Order: sequence, then C-alpha cells, then structure tokens
Amino acid sequence: MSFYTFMGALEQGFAYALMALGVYLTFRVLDFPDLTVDGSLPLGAAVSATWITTGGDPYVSIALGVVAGMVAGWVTAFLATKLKILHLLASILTMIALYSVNLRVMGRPNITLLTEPTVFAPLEGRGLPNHILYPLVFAAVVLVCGVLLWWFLHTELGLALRATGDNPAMITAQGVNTTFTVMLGLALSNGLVALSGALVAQSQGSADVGMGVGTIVAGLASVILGEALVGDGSVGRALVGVVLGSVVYRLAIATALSVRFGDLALTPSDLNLITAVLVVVALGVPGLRSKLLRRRAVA
Amino acid sequence: MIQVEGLIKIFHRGSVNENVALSGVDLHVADGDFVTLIGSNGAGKSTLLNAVAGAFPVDAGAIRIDGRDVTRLPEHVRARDIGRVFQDPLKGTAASMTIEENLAIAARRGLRRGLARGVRGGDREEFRALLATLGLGLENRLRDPVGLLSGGQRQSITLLMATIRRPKILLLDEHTAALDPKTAHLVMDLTDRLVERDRLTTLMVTHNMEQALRHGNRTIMMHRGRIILDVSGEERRGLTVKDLLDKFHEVRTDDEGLSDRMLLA
Repeated sequence: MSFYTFMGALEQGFAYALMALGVYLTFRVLDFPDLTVDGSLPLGAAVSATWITTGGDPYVSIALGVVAGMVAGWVTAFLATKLKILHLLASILTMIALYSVNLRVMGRPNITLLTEPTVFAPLEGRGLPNHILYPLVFAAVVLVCGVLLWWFLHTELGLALRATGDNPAMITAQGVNTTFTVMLGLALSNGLVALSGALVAQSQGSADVGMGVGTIVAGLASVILGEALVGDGSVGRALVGVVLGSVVYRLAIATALSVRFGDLALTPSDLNLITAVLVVVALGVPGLRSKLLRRRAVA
Repeated sequence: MIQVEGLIKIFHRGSVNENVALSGVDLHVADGDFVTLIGSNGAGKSTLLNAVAGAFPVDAGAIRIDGRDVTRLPEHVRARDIGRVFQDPLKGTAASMTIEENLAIAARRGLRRGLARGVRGGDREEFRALLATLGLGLENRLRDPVGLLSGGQRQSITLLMATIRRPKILLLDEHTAALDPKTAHLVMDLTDRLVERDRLTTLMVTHNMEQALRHGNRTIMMHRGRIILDVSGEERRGLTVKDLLDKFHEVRTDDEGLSDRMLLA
C-alpha cells in the first residue's frame, strides 16, 4: 500500500467514523437497529451539495444537512414508537423513501462540487498537501463530535437515553418517556450520519444518490471491530473503539484491494460482499463458539 | 393514599383467550398503610399492581393517587409518584450502567432531565451513605456496572432506587420471589426499614403467606379478579397461615361447586 493510499484510507476512516458514531448510538446504546443511515448519509450530502451549488454558504449547508438527517431519524422513530411499526422495518421504510427524497433534493442523481467553495477550501494551500490536510480535518471533527457525544451520554438526559436501550421497563418506571428518548437518539444518530455524508461530499467533490448503499453494514463493521479492539467496558472506551474500528476497517479494505490472488484481484464492487461476510463472522462467531464449547463440555 | 374504584380489566377481549383479570375491584389504601396482597395464580394481584402503575389501560373504573385521578395518565407520568420493584431482579436496574448512574437516574425521578451532569459530586456522598446501609459493601463499588452484581444485590439497589425520592406509593411485585431464602430475608428487612423510615404507602404482592402476615399492617386476598378477604388490626394479628390456606380452599371448592352446577344445568 502506498503512502497516498494509506492517507486516503485514514481520511475515509475518520470521515465515516462520524457515521459509525451514529450507528453506535442506535445499534448499541439504544438497541435499535436503524437502517435509516443508508438514506440519511446521502441526504446530508444531497442537502449540502444542493445548497452550495445554488450559491449558499458551505458551513450553513452542513448545518442544513445535519438538520435534514435529524428529521429523517425522527421520522423512523415516529414510525417505530407512535405507529408501532417494527423498528427494523420502520427504518427500511424511511431509507427507501429517502432515495426519492434525495433525488428530489438534488434534482438529478449526482452533483459535482469540484469548482464550488467547500469548508475545506479556506484550509487548502497553506503548506499542507491535501492528502495530509483532509485526514487531519476529519480527525479534528471526529474528536470534537466524539467528546461532545461522550459528554452528552453522561448528562441526565444521556443517562436516560442509555437506560432506554438497556432496560425500557426500568427507565419508564423512573418517569422517562421512552418515545421521547428514542426520538432524540435517532435524531442525534442520523444527524451525525448526515454530517458525515455532507463532509464526505465536500471532500470528494461530489454528492451521489447511490453513495449511501451499505452504510449500515460499514457502520456495524466499525462498531464491532472497535469492540474487538478496545472492548466496550465504558462509554469512553466504546467511543474510542468505534473511531478506531472505522479507521481499521478502511485500512483493511484498502489492503484487501491492493492484494492479488493469482488472476483474481478484488475491486471496489466486491466491498459490500466482503464487509457483509466480515460482519456475519463478527456477529456469528461468538454464538457459534459458545455452542461448540458447550457441546464439548457435554461430551 | 390509593383509591381504586370499580376497576375492570379484561385481557384479549372478544377472543377465545378472553380473561377477566380484574372484575370490579374496590380498594382504599390509607396513607402509611402497608398492604400485603395474596392470592392464587391468576387471581389478579399483579394485574392490580400493574393497573395502578399504569402498565396498560383499564376497561372501567378509576384509580386515584393522593386524590388525583391518574386513570388516564401514561405509565411514565404516573411514575413520578410511584416507586416500583419488580419480581425479576434484572428488571429494575440497567445492567450496562454503573451503580452510581442507576441511582442518579432514580434520584431524578419526576424531575426534568436536562444537560446537567448525570452524576454530580454531591450525589456520590449521598449514594455512598445509602449503599452503606445495605451492608453489602457496595458503597465502594459506585463505578461498577450493575450487571456484575447478584440478583439480591440488584434487588436491594432497585429498592433504594424506588425510595431515593420519596414516592407517594410503593409497589412491590413479588420482589423477593426470585431470590434464595437468605437473600429474600435480607431484602424484606430492607423493605421494612425503608417503608418505616418514610412511612410509605405500600402495596406488596407475595406468594408467601407467612411473609404476607409478618409484614405490613393489612392483608388482602384476591381470587378471580376480586378481593375476597381484607383484614387488618386485631383480626389480622390472630390470623395464621393455616387460616389463610383454609380460606383459599374454601373459595376453590366454591368454584368447583359452581362449575359442577353449571355443567349439570
């Protein structure tokens, strides 16, 4: 792997770590498998890119993208809590709907931002080459968001949110409306995912309606890798793990793409299969192992 | 004070599984009363407790707590006035969160939860003192996840959580049934201490007749969704477990007699 590829993987790792933090918030903290992210990531990108191409400020475009993502998360939470639709299905419905919404927002399947002003533009040309600057910017954003998330999860509201995922009966008995905490959690999560999408669009110079495919799987892979690497003993550890997991995941993919097995070389189009297999192994192996151990113990 | 009037709850209404869990229950629990609630399986004890807590809407009747009609209030709103301990020791605490975080959640019951720190410096001293009264050594384990603790320890913490902010009523749903006898004894001792300390209006469901007579100042027996026995004061003091069992058999036989008659008719 070349230094450029390495820095590229690092940039992606940090960029999508924001998304992975969102997935951690729903999947692990709230115990709500939320597939909305496949739609809210391109939504953030679409809103941001559209705002910029119509002459808007790139910073404002990110704020708008985040708000749009939060609304998307709220919609999924509404379907699941108020209309009692199974959480997984509720999120799939929002995700599907967002595909149309994203096309409407952009007015076409993709928008190029190469000649437009982005939040990265003012930082460019100040001595640091882009392949070093971009990963640094993303790392800084991840650091800020990670610290904010850690702080929030230790506030009164944050404790209520964590307890909602851990034990809804208990937190209800303590006077908390779980409908509210689920809505809050999903809005925050999808806000982070949309932020990730908006920043990715601005850094890679385009927003595409298909850029969200497989987001949830990549997010899960990061969360699970993080748990394997640093454990999930506390919120702080888990958050560090998620970021680390995201970076390791992108590095692993970059590595996989650079190896050849005889005539067979992996292409980016194989990534979803690889990631899916990775997640299946990570989710399935612990269960299989304990089953095997039990069987051995019996024999 | 709890006032229950004409409470009716029918599960699976209109289906083959229709089950009249409460068929017109009237109950008045005065301030500071500690009522023990007994009855066979399916008698409606837990249903009554859950109806008061607001776990489901009732089909008819009214529930008032300290004079305020709560019949139509959702569970989390009623929770402001209610301390609860469940039968399952795992149900009252969040396993992945620390002891101090669990207690901090309970310390804000009924208050607005905002962006202030969940566990504040001052809280820790209070929690440590409370935990020390348990005599389980938990006062030095504030930052341990609750999931590491035993069922008895978790149930003790749940009791502290239910009473850390004085509730208007305390609802205990067979909260010692899942514990070994020794631990159950410890948890009952703690229950008595806490109820006495705050003079809590308490409703305790139990399967254990001896427990039902030894604790509290009033005992109620339910059968088929109705209250069939309500004793307190002198009358209760003279009551033995055998008396309660006799009463049980009496109503059982009545039932059988009734169904026989129905079959013959």
